[in-house]
Amino acid sequence: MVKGVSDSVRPKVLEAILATYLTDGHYNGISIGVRNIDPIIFKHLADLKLIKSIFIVKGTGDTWSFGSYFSKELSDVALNCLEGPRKPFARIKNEILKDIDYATFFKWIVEYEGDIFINRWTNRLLLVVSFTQYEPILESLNVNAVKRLKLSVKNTKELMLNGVVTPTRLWLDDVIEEFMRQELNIAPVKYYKYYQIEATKSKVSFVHNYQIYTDVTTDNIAVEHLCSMTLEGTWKSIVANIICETIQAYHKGYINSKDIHLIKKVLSCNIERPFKGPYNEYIMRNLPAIYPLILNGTRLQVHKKLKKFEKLKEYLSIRRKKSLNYLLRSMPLDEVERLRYLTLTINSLGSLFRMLQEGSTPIGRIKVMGMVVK
Amino acid sequence: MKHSKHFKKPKIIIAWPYSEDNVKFAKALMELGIIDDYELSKEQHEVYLISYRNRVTITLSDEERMFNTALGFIPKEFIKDAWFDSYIDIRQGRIVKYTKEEVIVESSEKQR
Repeated sequence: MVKGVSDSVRPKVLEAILATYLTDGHYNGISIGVRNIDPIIFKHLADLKLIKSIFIVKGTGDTWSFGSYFSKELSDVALNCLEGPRKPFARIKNEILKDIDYATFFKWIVEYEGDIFINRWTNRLLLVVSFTQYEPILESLNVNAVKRLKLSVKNTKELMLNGVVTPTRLWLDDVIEEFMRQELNIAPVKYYKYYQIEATKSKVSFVHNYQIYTDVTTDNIAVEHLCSMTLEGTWKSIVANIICETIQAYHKGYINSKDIHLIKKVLSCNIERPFKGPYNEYIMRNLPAIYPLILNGTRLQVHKKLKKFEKLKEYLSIRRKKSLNYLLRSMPLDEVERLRYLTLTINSLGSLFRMLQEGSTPIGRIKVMGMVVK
Repeated sequence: MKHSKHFKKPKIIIAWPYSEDNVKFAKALMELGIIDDYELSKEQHEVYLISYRNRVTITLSDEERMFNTALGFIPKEFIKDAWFDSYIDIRQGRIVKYTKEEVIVESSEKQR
């Protein structure tokens, strides 16, 4: 039992734990700082009264981050529930683990750490929820990679079998296994894990890949369940809804496998590719939701924050050029035409386009309006 | 060596829909010596498994090795009943055996 926490406060405290736990926490006020995070998450946290204000900072690379501090009191409670100080090596204490509301816990894990997508295994269509955690290997290996280098699963396995490297069991292992046992105990859902070693110039890491698969080639059993695994009103829930409808439309024969590929292309949020696409515009559109939190503080603090806020908007809208408009310009004409059909067939995709049409830049708006049928 | 491969005419081509995992699987099949090569279609909508030989034989055990090589695990539950469906879209050659145990594809030339 956590000291000083009454049963009525307990559920919210647990949400605090997971929220803090999923972030780069440190004692005495746990901060969250995530690149381009969905602003609605901050609204969720504020609604839970977990955070009162937000700061905006320039990241180490070419990124901007939102951040927030949890109170020291809340940090104390959260850290009381953990063994060890930092993620992902801290473990949730056993007595806390058994009382966690996994359905809620998992929504936050999906939001912060998860990726939802449709995949193909040969001719099978799969719904995948994946998580990735990096475990630094400090002295185990001596790889001086000039650029990012990822070993294959096979080579990583060989190194593990030869005893060169051994992965640590992370907190996510316990959480996913418990979640699968409690919440996803339905036949078509399977959980697998595999490892890869990744080297950059400065460090070598074990990449823990967690994958939850559902075969949706012919049935919908787990598809709708996916939507319930996301927090309401967030980008992940939009993605889950689009994927859900996409699979249903595919089963009914309204769309083909090329269309699935195209929808994946639109939704893809991989920073390596020029298809960050709608996500930036979605963030832009939702920024006003956190205004009340930004305006918190002294006049000078607010002034500084607003200046950074403007720079963030500029970064999202101009510098990165990863907008829906950019995406459409990069696509061949036949794909844009097909996308027009898909926005009509898949309601949630159409809603996303209409939503971004309202919030996008003037140039983007003209282009997007050209393809969304009212 | 690389040039000679380009001038060789594929005798068997099996098509899969494109996905990053399917590319990994194709690479694994090549590493395992089950196919000779793989290619992506022009618009990257498909992955072609290519053999320059007259016969390709794939068994459930090959399929499991393919998963193990590409992803590091074998999803037995997903593949045990339907794995052979993956080798139904033959663009060159023809299926001569299609069972739960093995799939055999032969080149059309051999038939003639």
